[in-house]
Amino acid sequence: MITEENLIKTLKKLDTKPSNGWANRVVQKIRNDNFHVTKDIEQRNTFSSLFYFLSYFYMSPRYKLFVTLGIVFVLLVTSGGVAYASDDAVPGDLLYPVDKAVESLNRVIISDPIAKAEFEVELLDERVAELEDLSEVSNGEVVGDANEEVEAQKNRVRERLEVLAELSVQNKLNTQEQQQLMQEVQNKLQVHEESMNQIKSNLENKGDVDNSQKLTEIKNQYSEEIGVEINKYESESGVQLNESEMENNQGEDTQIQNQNQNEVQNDGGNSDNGSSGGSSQSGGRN
Amino acid sequence: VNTQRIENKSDMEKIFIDLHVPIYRYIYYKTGQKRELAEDLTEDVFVKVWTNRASFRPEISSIKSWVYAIARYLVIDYYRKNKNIYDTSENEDIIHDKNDNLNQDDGILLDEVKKGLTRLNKKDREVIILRYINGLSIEEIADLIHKKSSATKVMIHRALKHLKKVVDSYDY
Repeated sequence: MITEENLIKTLKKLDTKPSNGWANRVVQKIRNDNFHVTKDIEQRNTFSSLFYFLSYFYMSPRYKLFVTLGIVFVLLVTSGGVAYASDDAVPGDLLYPVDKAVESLNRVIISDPIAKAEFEVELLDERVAELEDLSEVSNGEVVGDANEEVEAQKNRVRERLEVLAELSVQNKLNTQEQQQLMQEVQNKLQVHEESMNQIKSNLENKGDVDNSQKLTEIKNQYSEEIGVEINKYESESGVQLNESEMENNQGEDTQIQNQNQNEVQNDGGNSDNGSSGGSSQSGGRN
Repeated sequence: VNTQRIENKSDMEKIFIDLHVPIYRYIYYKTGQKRELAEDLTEDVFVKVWTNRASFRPEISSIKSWVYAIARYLVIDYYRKNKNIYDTSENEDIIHDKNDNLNQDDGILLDEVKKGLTRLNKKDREVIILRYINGLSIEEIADLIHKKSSATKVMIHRALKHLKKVVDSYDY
């Protein structure tokens, strides 16, 4: 046990001094008018320089800015690269979830209802192509996943078309764009049916009966559900969609002129006034 | 410190020569006994003295009190900006910085006291350094830490008890 008196005596012996070299340097600085802070206090922590470099909170504002910009740049480049690379991914690939994530992001970003539907149709195209690729090379489980992806995407397309049908009734859509989209849906329906037949035959050749049957169900649902939407559109708009893309392109302008002549002329194709078709045309003339 | 003004480089040099050792010692024991850090911070204290010399009011405080006050705030600022630095960490200096003039027992005790200082809280450590290592009067310390003399006396007494307890614990 140490006594307080002894402790005080020991404390008085703590006569640590700075090095003479340092003291002399400071004196020289004072004499030479070179007396200013040479280092930031923050930089004097005893962590290693590597840790200091990595430690964001120790950085000066300017350094922080550079590091932040650098990190953002690297992230943009790498994420852009990964997103681009993931575009070709198929179910079972490492990058497939990234592909799906990018698609989800696009769903949020796109606000126009027709553009949304177009986007979903493109994705259905992609899903069917993925299934076709996989049906040639992969096993049953992966093909099953791809089958489900097609089904899910088919449902999304149907939902988007239902939304468009509602908006169309309220006269909130650009009729020309809507017709182009519906024509595309019609064309894709034929293409997808052909692709699905091909896939079905691939699967049967491989003896994958389960997936073949599943695909048949999906194809039937697809034909029926999308067919219903197409018929609904045709009966409500009075437009007859063409069976082939070539015919569609030739007949499109004439039909639009016939059915929606006033609307297209008056507001340049944008009839977003929230009123019925007839009143919209009257209002346009005024 | 004889001068009451800091008007030129000569005054500054004089102040530095008179005060750099106690200021260094105060910072050294206050900031975890790291030589290079203490030298850097001490230099900064005197740079601040020089750059702020126009704001020194001899009618309010002595040069010594003023320099101590600058040192104190600089250390506080250092800890504020380096929040995750352990202010009670042991380091090699404490163990190896031995005084050759001491016998072995004294040397061991000295090491234990140095180590014990790092275990104290900031306030205890500060008053111990100012009172017993740097030899400031109770009034000077009270003025520096903005306390009454009586309260400062109690603080010092308690801090010494705390240090004793820590040093005693090393015997077991």
